[in-house]
Amino acid sequence: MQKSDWWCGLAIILISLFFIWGSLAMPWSDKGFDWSGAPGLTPLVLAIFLGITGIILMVRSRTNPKFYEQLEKSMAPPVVEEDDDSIEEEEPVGGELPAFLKSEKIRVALVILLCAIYTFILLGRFHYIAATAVFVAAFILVFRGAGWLQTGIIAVLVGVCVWLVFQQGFGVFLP
Amino acid sequence: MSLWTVVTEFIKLLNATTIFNVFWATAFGIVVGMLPGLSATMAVALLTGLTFGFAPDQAVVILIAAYVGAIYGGSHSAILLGIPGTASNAAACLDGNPLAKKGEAGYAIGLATAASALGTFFGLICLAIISPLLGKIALEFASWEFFVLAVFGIVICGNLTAPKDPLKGWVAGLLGLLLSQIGQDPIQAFPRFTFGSLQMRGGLSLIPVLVGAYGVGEIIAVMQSPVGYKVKAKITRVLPKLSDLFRYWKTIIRSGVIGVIIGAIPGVGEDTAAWIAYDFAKRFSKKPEEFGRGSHEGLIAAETANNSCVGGAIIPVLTLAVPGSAPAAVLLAAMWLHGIRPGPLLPIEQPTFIATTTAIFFLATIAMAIVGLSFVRPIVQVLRVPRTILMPIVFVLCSVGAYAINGRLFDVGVMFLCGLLGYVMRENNYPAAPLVLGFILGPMADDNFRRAMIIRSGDFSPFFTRPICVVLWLLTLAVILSRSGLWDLVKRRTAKVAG
Amino acid sequence: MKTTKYILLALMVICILGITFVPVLAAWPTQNINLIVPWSPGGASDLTARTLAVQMEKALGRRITVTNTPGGSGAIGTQAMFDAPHDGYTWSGNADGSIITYQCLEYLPDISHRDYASFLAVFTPNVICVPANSPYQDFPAFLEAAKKGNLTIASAGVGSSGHQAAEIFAAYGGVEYRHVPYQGGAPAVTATVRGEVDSVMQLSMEVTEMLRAKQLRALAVMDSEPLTIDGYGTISPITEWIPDFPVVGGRFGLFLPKDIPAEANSKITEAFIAASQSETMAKFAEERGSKAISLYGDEAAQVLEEGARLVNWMLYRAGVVKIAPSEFGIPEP
Repeated sequence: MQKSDWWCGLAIILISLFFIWGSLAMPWSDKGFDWSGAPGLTPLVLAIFLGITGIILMVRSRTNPKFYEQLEKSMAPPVVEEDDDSIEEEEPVGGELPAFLKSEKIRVALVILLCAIYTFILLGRFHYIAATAVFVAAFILVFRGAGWLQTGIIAVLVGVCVWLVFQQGFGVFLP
Repeated sequence: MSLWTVVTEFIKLLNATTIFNVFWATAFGIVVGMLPGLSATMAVALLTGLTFGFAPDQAVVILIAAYVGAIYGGSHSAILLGIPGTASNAAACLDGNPLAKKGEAGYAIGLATAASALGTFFGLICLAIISPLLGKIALEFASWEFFVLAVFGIVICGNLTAPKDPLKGWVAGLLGLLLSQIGQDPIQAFPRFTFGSLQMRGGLSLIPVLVGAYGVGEIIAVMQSPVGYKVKAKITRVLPKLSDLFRYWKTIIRSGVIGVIIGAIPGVGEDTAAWIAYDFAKRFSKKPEEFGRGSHEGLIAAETANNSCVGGAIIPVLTLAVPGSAPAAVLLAAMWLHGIRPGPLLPIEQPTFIATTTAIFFLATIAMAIVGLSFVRPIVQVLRVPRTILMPIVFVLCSVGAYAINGRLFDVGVMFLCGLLGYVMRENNYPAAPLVLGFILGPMADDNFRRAMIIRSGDFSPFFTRPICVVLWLLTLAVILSRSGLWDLVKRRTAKVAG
Repeated sequence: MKTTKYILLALMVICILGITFVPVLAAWPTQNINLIVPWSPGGASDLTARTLAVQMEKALGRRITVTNTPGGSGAIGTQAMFDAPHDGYTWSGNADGSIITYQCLEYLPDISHRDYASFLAVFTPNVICVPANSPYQDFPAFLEAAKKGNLTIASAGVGSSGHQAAEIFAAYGGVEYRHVPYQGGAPAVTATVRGEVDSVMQLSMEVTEMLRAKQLRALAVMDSEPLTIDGYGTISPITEWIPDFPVVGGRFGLFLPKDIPAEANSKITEAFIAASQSETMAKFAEERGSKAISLYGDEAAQVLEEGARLVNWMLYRAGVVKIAPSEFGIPEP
């Protein structure tokens, strides 16, 4: 956590610098207002505060290891007994998960990628039902949630139901 | 507002449409609340988008019912899986899950249901009594007071939602405040941080930011682990014994009071309420050794407190337009969307609204008890759907919710990016609640400060001479002192001097 | 087993394609209509659009769905309408006062007020209001105080109808004032009720409720004839004191791209005439201190043109509009 604080601190300082630069570039007086009514005032103050927190975070990660020891101790999860028959593990379809699905990093990247494709490429360019069905199907298949046929049925059902309920029922125009 | 108004408003609610809506919304809330990773905030946020086309009164009914349902629903997975469905049920895990392991899963759910219903009922009574009192100072609130109120909210939200590492709470809060500054500024209509884009000029909307930070962030986190779990516990007796409830009446009332007070403090939510009530119950209990091993009392304390907190959290929403918890923040935004403007002027603009809300609460409580007790078995089936199938559907619903508010795809993009931000924050232990509260309070602070300066042509003094401002400043100071260690310093010094 | 799988997949594909491409043949309208209101629900634009939609649905035989897309003073929703195909299935519900300023305020620099086919259904004048406990009992007293300078006037935001009215009042009354913008008409009106500012000049539709509740006092209406509000009384026209004062108010209705198919335009016009002259519309307007009108085609275009000249030059002189309106081909009035 110490290491991540160092990098987060750095990122936070960069973000704050961006906002400080942006607020200073706005007009600071015009007809009808002086500095107290200027559009850049609030973002400037906020960005300066954000920068300060970033600096504290970076400094803390380098100079105060004791703080992290205490923090880690207080955040340790309560011990849970393992032998427990009220829950069971999910069975991936098709036996063992392929190796790449066992890495947390790849799983996260895959979820992000799938959602990004749906958000930025499928929605708005294709008919809503088609876009949604393709996304749901891809998601289930990639993560071995169900067989081909089942996946197809679920995907089309989701697309059609959402479309029917919202576009026709609730009167919301879908993309 | 008299009790009579509440009764008449309640009778007005008794029509087929409303009752139908209350029941499905409660069930929806229970299901979302029950699914690990999907929070009560998300249940309300999702429905805000989805019920956008509804008439305002029906939308509010649906949202409150879902809120109540979600906070309660989380107890199901806490008991059955040992994983809290929402953060507010974390305390319920400690005793609920051991009960399930002893084979008393159904009975534990029954107890949790009864406790939740009693807690909600307690919360609504406080809502009915306290709100009108706060409403009396309504007309005293002008731009100056609103600004100081926003500062108060900001200080509190940064400080209290991350009690172990307040700095991270502050970072999240400031990020939320800065995000809210994007778009056309409220006074001069100057486009801020828009890079010349018309879409950015409209600013980021609350719902996409919220659904992103909570919902999408949660979807990614849920999918992260290669191993998923599902329930196979059997459910037997559900109805709780009345004697069990009577035996713990002190715990119930104490937890209810704690819940309402914690709820009414802006920025602290149901989870904190549940933990504090659990802690108190343990301290005052005759059998503290049972806590953590399946104590009925502990389960009741946690579930009463988190549900009475709902009523508490709505008090500042209705009277001051400052949310008491993250789901209440969404509720506030939803009311704005439907043209209801909570805040000091609510009693003037919509005199019966507080009574209506109380009545809705009452109806939702009844629905929660009925749905909770009678549909335990079918509802629990949802916990058997693998997350691989559930999560893409949740993402689709999230995107519908984000899109429906303004009907622009830009918002779905915002939702996705905020989801990434939410995930990164979650992985590095930054709380999401201050981000959302900062996002709500940002425009309030900005707008009112600059307007106040224009009205009195640059005169600062009203900020410090108006009586409500002074009270709010003092409260803010007290919060900072009590949380920053300075207070301890002062105490030690005075002790030294006295000694 | 394998064949069934492929048959099922093929069926699904056909279903999806079917839903996508069926509504192509037949006469206009073949689809439901999306009515974008670029403001929050509950405002004057929204209420007018929704009332019109209900009436016009009957005539067109299709569902009209209202979508609120607030932001950028209504420019974002308007842009969305222009981005959609110009086939007559995407409309916008707005006010003339906003439409005419989008180009000069550089919100939509490429879209002129002459690019719209406008259908105006409700006229609501601006009303000069003061809090109920204000010392100014009538318009002359108010004008005299305003001439001393430094009166604060609330509005729904920079460039809003209340702001435009205040600017025109300042120009014709020869006064200076301090503009206090709020986030919309309702907050501006409530701020005036609680005495935070000296006056508000929003549309009569936005102040009617507060006038009836005796929380506000109306001093004059920016029209050439008096305005009577049920449950409040009659408000004298401002021309009693400043004879050459123009008629200032909002005309609410539907705005479509001008280049939609002629068939769609004539069907919509037909439906609009029936809706705008209906009993429901008249009642809707009267309850809100407004008048039902029925302007479309060249007549409506003329109203927009006159408004664009007056307002844009006024805002240019006030420093709100930065580029001279003549750059956009709008001559000085």
